[in-house]
Amino acid sequence: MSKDLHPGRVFAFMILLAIMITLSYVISGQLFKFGAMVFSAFTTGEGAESAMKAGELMLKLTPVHNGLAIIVSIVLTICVVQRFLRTKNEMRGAFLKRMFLYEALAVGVVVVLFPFFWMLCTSFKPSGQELVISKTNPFDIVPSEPTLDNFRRVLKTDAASVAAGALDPIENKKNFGTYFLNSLLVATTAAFLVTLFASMGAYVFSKKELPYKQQMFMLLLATMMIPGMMFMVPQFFMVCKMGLFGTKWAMFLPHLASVFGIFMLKQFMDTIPDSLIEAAQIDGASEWQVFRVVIVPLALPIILTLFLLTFLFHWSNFLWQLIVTNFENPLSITLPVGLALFRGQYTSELGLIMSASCFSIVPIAVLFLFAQRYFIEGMTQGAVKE
Amino acid sequence: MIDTTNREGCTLAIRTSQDTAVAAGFLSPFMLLFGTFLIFPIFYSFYLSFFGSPTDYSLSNLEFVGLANYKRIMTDFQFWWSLGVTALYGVISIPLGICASLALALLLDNKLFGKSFFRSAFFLPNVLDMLVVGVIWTLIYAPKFGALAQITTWLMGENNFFNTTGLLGSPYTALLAVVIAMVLKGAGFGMVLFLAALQNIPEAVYEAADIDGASEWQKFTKITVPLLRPIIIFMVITGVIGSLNAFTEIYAMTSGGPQVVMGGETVGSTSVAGYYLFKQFDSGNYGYAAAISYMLLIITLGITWLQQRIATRNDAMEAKK
Amino acid sequence: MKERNLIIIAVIAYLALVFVGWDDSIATSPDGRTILTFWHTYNDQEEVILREIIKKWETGNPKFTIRPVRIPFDGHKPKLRTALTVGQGPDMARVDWSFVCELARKNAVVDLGTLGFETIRAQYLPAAIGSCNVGGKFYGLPDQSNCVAMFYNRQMFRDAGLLPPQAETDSAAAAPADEFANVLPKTWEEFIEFGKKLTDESKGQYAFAMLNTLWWNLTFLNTYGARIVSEDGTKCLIDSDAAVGAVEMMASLFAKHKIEAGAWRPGAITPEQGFVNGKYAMIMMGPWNLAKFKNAKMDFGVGLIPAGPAGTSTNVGGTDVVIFKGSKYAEACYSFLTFFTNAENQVRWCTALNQLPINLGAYDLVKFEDQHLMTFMEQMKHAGPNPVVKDFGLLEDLVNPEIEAVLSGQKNAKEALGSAAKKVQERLLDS
Repeated sequence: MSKDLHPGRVFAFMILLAIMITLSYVISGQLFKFGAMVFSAFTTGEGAESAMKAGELMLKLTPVHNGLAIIVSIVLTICVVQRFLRTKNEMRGAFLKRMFLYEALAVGVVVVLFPFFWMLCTSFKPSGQELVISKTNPFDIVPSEPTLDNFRRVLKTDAASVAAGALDPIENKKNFGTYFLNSLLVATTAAFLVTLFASMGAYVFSKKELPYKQQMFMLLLATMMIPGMMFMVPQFFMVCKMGLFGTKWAMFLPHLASVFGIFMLKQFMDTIPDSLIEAAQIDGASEWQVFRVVIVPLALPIILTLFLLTFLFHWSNFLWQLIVTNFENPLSITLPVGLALFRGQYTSELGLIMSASCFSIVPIAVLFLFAQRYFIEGMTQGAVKE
Repeated sequence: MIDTTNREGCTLAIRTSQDTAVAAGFLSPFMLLFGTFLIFPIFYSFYLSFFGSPTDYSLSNLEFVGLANYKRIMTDFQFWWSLGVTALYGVISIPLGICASLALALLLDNKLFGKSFFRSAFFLPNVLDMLVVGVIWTLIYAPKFGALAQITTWLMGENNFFNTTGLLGSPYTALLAVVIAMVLKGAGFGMVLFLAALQNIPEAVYEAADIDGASEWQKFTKITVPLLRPIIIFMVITGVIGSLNAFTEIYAMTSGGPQVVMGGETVGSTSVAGYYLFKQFDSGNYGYAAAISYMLLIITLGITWLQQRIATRNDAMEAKK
Repeated sequence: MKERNLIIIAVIAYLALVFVGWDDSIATSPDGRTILTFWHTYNDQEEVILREIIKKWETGNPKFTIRPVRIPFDGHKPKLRTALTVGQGPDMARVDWSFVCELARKNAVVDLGTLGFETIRAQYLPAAIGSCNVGGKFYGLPDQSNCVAMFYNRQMFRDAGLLPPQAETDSAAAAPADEFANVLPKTWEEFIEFGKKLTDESKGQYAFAMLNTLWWNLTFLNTYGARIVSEDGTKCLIDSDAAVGAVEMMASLFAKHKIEAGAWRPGAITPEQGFVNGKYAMIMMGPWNLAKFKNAKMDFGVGLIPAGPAGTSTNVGGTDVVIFKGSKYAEACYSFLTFFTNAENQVRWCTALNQLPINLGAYDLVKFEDQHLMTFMEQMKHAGPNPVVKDFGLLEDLVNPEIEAVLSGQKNAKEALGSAAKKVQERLLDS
């Protein structure tokens, strides 16, 4: 078995293994600690004393999450070493390259997801402790005295809000659930309409004939170069003149013609071979059928990307929605504006802002995880065989 | 053989007036909305650029000043400086962004365990609010307490640059720091675009190249890159526009940046055109702000036109050979 | 097929949501009373007290009802600007102090002198009412005001021997108020002496941390008696000798004496953050962070800003309430706003919310449990007036970079302030 034992390779394997053990211990340790923290926060109640109780609970759970991390690392090590010993000598180089690739990707993921992790951890921190940096290990950002208070305040289920809500029932309606549903409606409708119109338009610019098509397209691109804030006042003026002030239409109507969308879709549609369209036309398909059956499935990844991006834009479009919201009707407030109502004049209540951002991000993340199976896997595998 | 030329080169096309009508039909919803909500504001802000700052909120008592705003731009050192900073920002961020996205896409295009997880993970930062990203990166870059400062102190001892001044504290590195934060945030988006386009390249082409004995690098440069050209062009153009409009990241991280003294004038080292424009707009100088945005438009169009001239001249020279 | 079903479910859910939630009309109260809209930016606790006061006023004024409409503070300026552009502004609003001048110059708010303000002007704290004074006329009433004072970390002071050890001093509740005031350095020279004892660069500890924006720097400038603009608002005075002295002293804290942490640099840890983590011994801060520091279990005290040649002083922040010209019921609004800010209601407001009173009548009646707030009240008495210009943001944009250039050693104070004065005069005052 060990005829050609390359000492270099074994040495490289040792180093990669050491890195892998460190990474897996640190990452799984933090994740388990986070889990322990969430558990502690959930099982204790509201208020500062509960935070301290949660802190004690976490201390008790420390051997648990450390132990789990160690177990995970050991199991991983055993698997990897077994794999390595089992691979043939010639394949070992490739194996090492793969291992390195995985480790590099893991580091990349850590770097890229670290802001999310920080955001989640900060939202569990009680007021006043968000900026406290642990003296022993500044990267240990999982709070030691976690609380769900920030989340409760956002959802208005904490004691103070419930008391205030009892005074005025309409005020009570002015809560997170309302903002969330309003934003959901606005963003979904906007995303759907934008994607529909942009894909129809991009089809024309990419595949069809029109006099002065090139010039028109250049003109559209030029308008992209003018910053959006310049259009805010005239568009607001128009929306008010149309009597749409305070309605949901106002929140996305001026942005339905997305030049960015048309541009992105056109560039992608340019990569779709014309032969497919001709094939469909020879088969006797009508224009709309060509669009629906040939173009849309092939461009589906990009169309879904545009949908997601537009959804995201309208989900967090604070400034414009602030201007068109009629604050006398608190039931029409959308999420970004509603969350801004939390940010007081001098409040830098980071924990509260972060927990609000968490709520804001969850639907996007869910939408993305659902859609990514479609648009990244793509449905093009069979279509382009000639 | 795959036909990747555009419609003009195709010989099976039957152009009829019905065809044009259909095309117009498909385009009409978009154009209708564009015409209603974008044409008027474009002309209105252009119109505003010839007037002075409003004296009250009704925008009806405006003083006509003709080209005075544009003349003022010519002598506005802050404006030209911000243009330079913007150009630097674009020159660094666009190639970096494209390379990062392409690298990620290529890495994740293979058979890999947990492929979808990695792809989702790298796209997710795009979803974060810009202000949150700004706060987090400021904490990472902060001297003495930031993550970067802690790591470098552990490696190199107390007296290193990251610990004493921090990347955002020095006028020479602040812009680079902002660019890195933005590239890491946006790489996932480009990655998704490239991945989708890579899916569209059929295996058959690569197999044919293998038969011809092409190396990995040749396959990459002669097949992959040309077929990805539309996406690359898209990323360059949106990168340019993004640099011109860049504002939130500067607002969140540096507020115009550490000041540096140039020829007696104190200017911000991360004061990009978008940020300068916002400051004008926020002060209510709508006329001047409008003039600035049209000036930026003219300059960008000029550069693009110049680029086209050079490109076509190069193509013509290539064709002659 | 499973995905198909999921999509169908999603579409149905969406349509249901549209049917239920799209409509945006509101039910109006069929009362018959005239509605006066008041756009405010208060938080939950403040709004409860506001509604209480509104009810009291309404019983005395049955023909009117006040409709409080809450808008986010973060964005109230663009909201008001655009609403006023299309003529959809409210009757009254509560705005940031620096916004009043812009509103006045743009002819959007009512001059309260025409409603009889002179008779009650003396009731209001002079520092607070300064921001409403535009060109000699008063365009708003202060509803909330605050200032900054010097916070210090008592543990770090003990470690440096500037405070007796723990056993002899008690917690904040037990110690007398003047004990806190007597600990801090009295003048800037003493401050530098203290600073040297409190700074230990090897441990990353600094005596002081400051921010560099004009509003924060006003504290320093005021202790030297320096003003930014002249009384009538036509001349920029920022290049006066007093101002140069103040800025030079600020710069020396960082460059020469090395007792300042460089927190004014972009991207650095803010004074607040460093204070909470025990890295900065002293910072200037307002009363809004008192609760937060207590929650972080900090052992801190509050004292007066050290005195410069003009004595101790501070800046002023806060908000004012204004009446818009578009309102048809200016007198009724005026009656409400003066009621809202009268001494009796101020006592109720301030004790319930732990805020500093703006009505002199309330000053002696308000007694806070929290000793630190009493220190703030004392500090407020020495506050200097804020510069009243039509665009405070622009003023900051012109002055901040120059001061930063001095702090980073790229320009000397006289040169920097000279060029700042020139720019301010050209861009802000003369145009």
